[in-house]
Amino acid sequence: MSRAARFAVRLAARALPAGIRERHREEWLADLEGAREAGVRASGIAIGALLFSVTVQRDSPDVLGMPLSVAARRHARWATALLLSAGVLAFGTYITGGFGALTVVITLWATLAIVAALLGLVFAWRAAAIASPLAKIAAAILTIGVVFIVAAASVPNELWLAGVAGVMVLLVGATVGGIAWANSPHEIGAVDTAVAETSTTARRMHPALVAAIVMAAVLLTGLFFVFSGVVYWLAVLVLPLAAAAVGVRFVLRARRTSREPATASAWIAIVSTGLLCLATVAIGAADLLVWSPLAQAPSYTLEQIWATLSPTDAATGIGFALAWIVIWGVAGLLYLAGTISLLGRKARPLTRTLVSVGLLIVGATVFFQFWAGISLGMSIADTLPPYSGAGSEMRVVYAMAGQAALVGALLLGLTPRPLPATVAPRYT
Amino acid sequence: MTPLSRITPATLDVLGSLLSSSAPTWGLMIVKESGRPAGSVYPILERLERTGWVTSEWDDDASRPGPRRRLYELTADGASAARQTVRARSVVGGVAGATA
Repeated sequence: MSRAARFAVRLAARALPAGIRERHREEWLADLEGAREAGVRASGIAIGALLFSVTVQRDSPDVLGMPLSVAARRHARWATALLLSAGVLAFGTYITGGFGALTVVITLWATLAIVAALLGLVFAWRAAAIASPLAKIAAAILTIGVVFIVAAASVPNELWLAGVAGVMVLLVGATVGGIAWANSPHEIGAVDTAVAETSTTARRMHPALVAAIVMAAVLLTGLFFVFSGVVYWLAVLVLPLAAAAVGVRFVLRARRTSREPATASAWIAIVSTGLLCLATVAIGAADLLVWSPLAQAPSYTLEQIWATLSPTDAATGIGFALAWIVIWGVAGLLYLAGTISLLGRKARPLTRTLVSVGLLIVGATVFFQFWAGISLGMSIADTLPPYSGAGSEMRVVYAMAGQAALVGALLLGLTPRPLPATVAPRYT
Repeated sequence: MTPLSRITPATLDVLGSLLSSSAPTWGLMIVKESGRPAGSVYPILERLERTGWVTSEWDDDASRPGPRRRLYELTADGASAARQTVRARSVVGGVAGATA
C-alpha cells in the first residue's frame, strides 16, 4: 500500500461527517491493503475515496452524526470565524500594504484573506443547505459582500466605494444570519454529551455575536466616515472595560463549578498566553517611544528628538503612549491573574476559551498601539526631517503578529470543538 | 426501501455484480467485477445502502489482521428491485440496439 494512497485515504476520511468518518476510514484502508489481491490499483481507491468525500450527501442526521440543526450551527460557527478572520487579514493587508520591504509577506497575507473568505462562504452555504430559507438569504448576501470587497481590492483606489459597500453588505448578511440562528430549532435530543455541550455553548454565543457585529459597525463607521476622536476613545475605553466585566463575570461563575485539575499542557498554554499579553505591551511600548521615533528621524538621537519636540507635543505623545501602556498592561495582568486563579480547579474544556481570550487581548493591544502612536508620530513628522510618517520596520511585524493573534482568537473561540468519533475505530 | 431517482449505467453494473453473488461481497470485489472505478462504485454503494437496497457489515475474519473489509449484500426487496431494473434496462438496451 503506497504512502501517498494511504495519506489520500486518511485525508478523504477526515473530510467526512462525523457519523460516517471512522467506518469509511477503516473500509478504505482495508481496500488499500487488499488492492493487489483484488487486482485494483491503489491509486484508484484513493481517488475514489477523495471523490466520495467531496460528493457524499451531508443532509442526513445519520451521515452527520448529529441533528441537522446542530450541524447547521457548527457550520455557521466555522463560517463566522473564517469570514471574520478574512476581514482581519484583509484590513491588515490594507493598512500595512505600503511597505515594499515585506511585499512577499503582504501578498501572503492577502492570499490568506481570500482563502479564509472562500472557506467561510463554503461553510456558510453548507449551513444554509440544511437550515432555513433565511439562512440561504444570509449566505447569498455574504457572498455578494465578499465579491464586492474582492473586486475593490483588485483595483485599489478606484473601487474603494465598492469595498465600503461590501463591508456594509457583509454586516447586513451577518445580521440576517444572526436572526436565522436565533430562530433555528435547537434540538439536543438523545445525543452524546459532547454534542450537548456544543449546543449549549452555541446558545451562549448569540449575544456575543450580536455585540461583536454592533461594535464592528460602530468602529467601521467611525473609521471610514467620521475620523473622530469620540469614536476612537469610545472604543478604547469601552472595549477593555467590557472585556474586563465579561472576564470577571466569567471567572466568578466558573469558580463555583469544580472540575478536574488542569493538565500540564493547559498550564503551559494559558500562562504562555498571559506572558504573551505582557510581552506585547513591552514590545509595543519600545516601538512607540524608541524604535518608531528613531525610524522617523534617522539623523537624530532619541535625546535630540525629545529635546526638539515642543513640551506640548512631547507631553501629548507620551500621554497617549502611557495611557495605552497602562490600559493594556493592566488587561494583561488581570488576564494572567484571573486565569491562574482558575487553573487550580479547571479542566481542559476551558483552556481553549481562555487562550482565545488571551489572543484577543494581544490582538486588541496591537490594534490600539497603532492609534496610540499617531499623536507622537505626527508631531515628529511635523518637526523633524525627513518629515515622514513612516514607523519602524518592527511596527509592520508587530502589526501582522497582532492580526495573527486575532485570527487565532477567532478560530479558537468561535469554531466548535471536535466531536468524538461515533464508531470506535478498530484500526487507525 | 425507496426507489432510486437515477439509474446510471454504472449503477446497473454494480447491481449486476451484487446479483451475481449469493453471499455478502467485499466492496472492492464489486469495484473489480463491475469494471467501474472506485470513484463511481463507492458513492453508488452508499446510495444503495441509504435507500435500503443493500446492507453492509464488517467481515470479522479473525485470521486477517488489520482493518476490516466491508461486505455488501442486497436486501430481499433490493434483490427483487435490482432484478427488475437490470432486466428492464437490458430490454431497453436490446430494443435500442435493434433499432440503431
